[in-house]
Parts: sequence; structure tokens; C-alpha cells
Amino acid sequence: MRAETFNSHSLFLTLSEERETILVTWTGRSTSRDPAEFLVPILTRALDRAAELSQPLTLDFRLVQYFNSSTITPVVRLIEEAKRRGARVAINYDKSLRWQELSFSALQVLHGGDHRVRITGV
Amino acid sequence: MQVTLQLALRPMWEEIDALGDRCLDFLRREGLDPDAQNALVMVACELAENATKYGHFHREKEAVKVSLAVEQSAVVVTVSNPVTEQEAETLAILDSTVQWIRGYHDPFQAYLERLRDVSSQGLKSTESRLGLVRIAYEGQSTLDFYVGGDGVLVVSATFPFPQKGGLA
Repeated sequence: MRAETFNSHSLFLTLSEERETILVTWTGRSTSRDPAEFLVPILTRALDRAAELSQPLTLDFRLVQYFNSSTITPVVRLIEEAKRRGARVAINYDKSLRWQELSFSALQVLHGGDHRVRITGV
Repeated sequence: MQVTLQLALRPMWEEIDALGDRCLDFLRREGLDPDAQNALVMVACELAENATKYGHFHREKEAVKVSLAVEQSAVVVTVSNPVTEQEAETLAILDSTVQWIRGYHDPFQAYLERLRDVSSQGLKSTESRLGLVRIAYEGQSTLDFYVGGDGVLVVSATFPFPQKGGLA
């Protein structure tokens, strides 16, 4: 398994190749003015690699303490991009945290019924 | 009895991280439950981000002012910043966004609608405009605003305690 960690201010993203998925683990706080500048290249690279290996891309948000609304935008658009490419995306969040439950359950409703997108409260 | 936290921030992005920590400390001390704490920190930070981005600061002493007032039945987050006629378009967008959110009986539906808009834009687009609707939905708060005669925009978000309160 290979893993690489990227950091911007107090947000850390670890990109790793697991046996059955390309995993991006988010930790810390995402508060920058334009988080897409940091996130889009990493998420695009992860999606490219997932497509190359015909594996799903998993985004794990369970350890994130906070993200601003500008952080949601690139995530939402990544899901759309993945769907356009016919890739699969899994999102894991901490369902015991109400803010994560509210944030991700909305995404769940948005993509309900699409077998390529799986959003799970863990 | 009302307990209030009042802060003045320099209009710089790095002030917003510190704002989140100070709000969290205050809300903890006031005994709010962790879910209410997280919701209110988000509300204060999103409003402060908007004030920092769109305020018109031309004198060194001008600041983004933030207050959190814990009242018997609600917490009111108020954020203010100077504006001029140059911000007329920003104010019009604020007005139409607040009216648009009020047009939904359930802010969740407004949030979903905005997410649909956002998802239809390209990966590299920087437009978001999720902040206010996130405050209404995830922050469960009612938004209001006015521009005072002194050229200060005041935006408030009222977070009601569910029944007997979010006070733990």
C-alpha cells in the first residue's frame, strides 16, 4: 500500500491505495478562502488513479472537525465528475456528529438511487 | 439573562480560525450541547467569511464585528462590516438569497436545490454561494439583515433552542 499526505493550513488529506479502493482520508479543519485550489488537484488525481485501477474512490470524512461551505463545492463537483466518467465513489462520515449527518445526508438525498455513489454514516 | 461574546476581527482570513476556537470556548462555558456548539461555530464562521470577503474596509480601525448572544430561548449570532455604494450588487445578492431561503418552508429543500446548482458546474468553477443556505439548513438558523445609517451591514442568524433548550 502506498500513502501520501498533503497539507494546507490545518487540513490534511492522505491518499492511499488500498486493496479494493483508492482512499482519501480527511483530517483536521478546512477553512481556507479557496479550498478548491488545494483539493481539486488531489481529488482529481485520486479519481484518475481509481479509474486507472477500475476501483472505487473512497472519501473518508470521519476525522474532519470542521469544513466551510467552500469545501463542500469541490466535493459535490467531484462526485458529478466521477459519475460522468462512470466511476464509483464512496463517502464515509461520522453519523454520531450531527453536523456531519446533516451535511452528508443532503448529499445522500441528492444522489439517492445512483448505484455509483454510496454515502454511508459509520 | 443574556450572556454575550463580542469580538472585533481584522478583515483577514486567518482571523476566522481563531474566531471558531473562541466561539467554541464561549459556547462550552455557557453549557450548550456539542451539536449546538458545532452549528453555531459554523454559523459565526460562515458569516465572518462573508463579511471578510465582501466588506469594504478602508480604514485600519474598521473591523468585522461578531457577537454571540445566549438568550433564554435562542442564540443570536450577529456579524457586521462596513459597506459602501460599491457593495450594492453584493447587498442585492444577499437580499435575494435571504428572500429565496425564506420562500422554502423547509430549508433542507433550499439547500438541496443549491447543491444541485453547484453540482452542475464544472470541477474548476469557484462559485459556491452555499454559506447562507447552509446556515439556514445545517445551522437551523433564521437569517436577517439591515444596513444602518452609518454604512454598516449587520447580518444576524437566530438559532432557537429546541423546546427546553440546547443548554446541557
